[in-house]
Amino acid sequence: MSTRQATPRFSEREERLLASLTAGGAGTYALIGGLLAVFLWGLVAYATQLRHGLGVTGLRDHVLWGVYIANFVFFIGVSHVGALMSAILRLTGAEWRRPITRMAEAITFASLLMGGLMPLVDMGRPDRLLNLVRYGRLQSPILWDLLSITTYLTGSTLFLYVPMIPDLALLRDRYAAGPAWRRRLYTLLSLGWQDTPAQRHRLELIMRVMAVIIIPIAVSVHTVVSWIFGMTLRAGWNSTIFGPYFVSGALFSGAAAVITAMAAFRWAYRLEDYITEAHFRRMGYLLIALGLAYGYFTFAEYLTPAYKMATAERGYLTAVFSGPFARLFWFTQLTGILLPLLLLTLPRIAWVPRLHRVPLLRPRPALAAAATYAVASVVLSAASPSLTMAGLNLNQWIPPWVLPTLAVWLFLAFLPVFHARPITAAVVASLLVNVGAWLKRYLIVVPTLLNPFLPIQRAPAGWAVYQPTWVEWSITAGALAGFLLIYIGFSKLFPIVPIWETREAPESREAAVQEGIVGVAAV
Amino acid sequence: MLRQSRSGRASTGLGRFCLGALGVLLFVLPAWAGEPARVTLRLEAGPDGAQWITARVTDAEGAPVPEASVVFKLRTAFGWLTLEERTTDASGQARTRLPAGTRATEIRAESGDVEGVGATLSVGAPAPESPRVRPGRDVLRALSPQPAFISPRPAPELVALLALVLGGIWATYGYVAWLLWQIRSSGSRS
Repeated sequence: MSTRQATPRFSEREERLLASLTAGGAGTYALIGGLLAVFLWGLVAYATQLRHGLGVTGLRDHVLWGVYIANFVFFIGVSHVGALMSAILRLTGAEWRRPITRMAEAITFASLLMGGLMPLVDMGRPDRLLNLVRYGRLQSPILWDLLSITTYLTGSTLFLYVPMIPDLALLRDRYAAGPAWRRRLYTLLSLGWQDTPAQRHRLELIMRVMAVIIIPIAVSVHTVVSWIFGMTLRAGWNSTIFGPYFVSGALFSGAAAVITAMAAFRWAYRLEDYITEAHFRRMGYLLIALGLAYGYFTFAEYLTPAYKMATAERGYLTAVFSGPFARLFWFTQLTGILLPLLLLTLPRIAWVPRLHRVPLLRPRPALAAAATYAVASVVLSAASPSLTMAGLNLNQWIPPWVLPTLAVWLFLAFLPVFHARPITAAVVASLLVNVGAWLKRYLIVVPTLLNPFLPIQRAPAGWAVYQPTWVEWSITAGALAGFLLIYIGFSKLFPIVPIWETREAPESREAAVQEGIVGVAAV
Repeated sequence: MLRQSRSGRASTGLGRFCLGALGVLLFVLPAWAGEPARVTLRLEAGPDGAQWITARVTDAEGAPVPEASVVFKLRTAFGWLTLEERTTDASGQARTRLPAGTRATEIRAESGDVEGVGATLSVGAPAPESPRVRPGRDVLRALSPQPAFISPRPAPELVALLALVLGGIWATYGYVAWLLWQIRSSGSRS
């Protein structure tokens, strides 16, 4: 480990790993500026909500939770994988984890901060927040949630911080380019680290302890989040498997977020030697396993009530399967679970490149057909009134089987492309997983509230539907921008790839290099 | 001659001014007479126990102003929240129902375009004290097979369980903090 007496310059390897701190062109500033603008717009929307009350949102007496609580469940879910994955891989000695653990742990930190704010945003009177503690019932899952999230935030911050100490000491000793406050920060946070045997022993002890304890905490947090729903007598929420269902969904979306972050940092800071294709392959395996588990839980969660179709739950199930939420529901199942799994598995089949030999199964004809379909749909929709008046039925012009056929055609045409570019396949799959995950949270929250056991009555007609307003969408966009700003800000202050952990040679280093898990430059 | 003409011009100018002022007064006064100049507020309890706020709008001469818009507002921690906008009836009155459960706060009613024509009234009662007598475990057990979850007081076993779990976790955090302190201490010694 480096000390104050060591050479004051970074090695070439260290400079590459510190690129996120030093590099920053016009693109970076434009990205940060854009995110800041969105975040500030979100603040303006929140100020509007504070000033005029929750009446400016689509929330009413019946749908009292909407987009905000969907955001809350989504962010808390994404926060899962960082600490959990890192802890499990640490305890099992998986060496390939080393370059990606910190970016996973930082996702936990950033998403917990934004997720924790969402219930506050959902409160019409946040000035009464203290009442939750003063008058909260210890028997209520809401208070359990407050306690578990606070505990998890503290634990995951420690879990992120402790392995950073040797890197902070390195920055303290050698980072001279930045402003003085940075060096003071590194000096403060590095806790006088000199890499003595006693310090190293204690650091390793802390990491072992934290890795063990953070696993049950992480699992319990999302279980408690699920209990907020599961402990009510409501159609769609009254379930005994909501705990594991939520945990599996959280791990699935969190692993996808880590893949997206890996690809972004690899691309932005040229970290190809450290975040290799093998990392994406392994994370892909993890995503497949988690996706299958999540798919299983989803199936079990819906099959049980759908098989019985009890009177009280019929309205809710009909709304989700074939009613107003059907398109969204089937979209999340197909695009958020099935398609990512297919993207991660099918391109690995050996004969996939041969598909290009078939002229029709090349990207260009498939794309041309998709574009024709899109144009035809737009034109026919625009001409719809006159066509209907002329006695022509649109359904006869574009039969319903055309869209699924096109989707399959496009998928087959792009399979060889994804075979040649496995990282692109992993990133596309992970983005689809996260979009699907957010939509699924929305589907967990809203349809149940719109289908209470006692019918909505003696209420204005508009209260029986939920339509999020610009305020809610703006705050949601602001929260996402805030999450990204915290994450980028973290990577601008601290090394996003652990320097000392990737330097320390594991016993199986050579084997790892041969396997392609650790690039040659990392050794 | 010169003095006369000057005084004559002065008197003519004064006369014109007076005429103009009179014209303005004659033109404006009727308008003032019909404009909201004062708002008074009254709190009433309905037969169903609901609270109603009545605003009475009068003009400068004390006559009721019909068809005047009245905006009812409720003070919150973040400023005035608009409750409802109403129009006065023939007697210059407009009413609104207070939201159920409104605790001690202020209600304001504003009328007309002129700023400051309004009135404020303190309404609501402080939150009632919690009942001193609470049902015991035997009463709750008769109501539900899980008395611990419906009890207004947390059950001792629940508190003990939470204290054990959370206490264990936070004690571990404390141990980690102590180890970090040891790292810092040994760093400063070496």
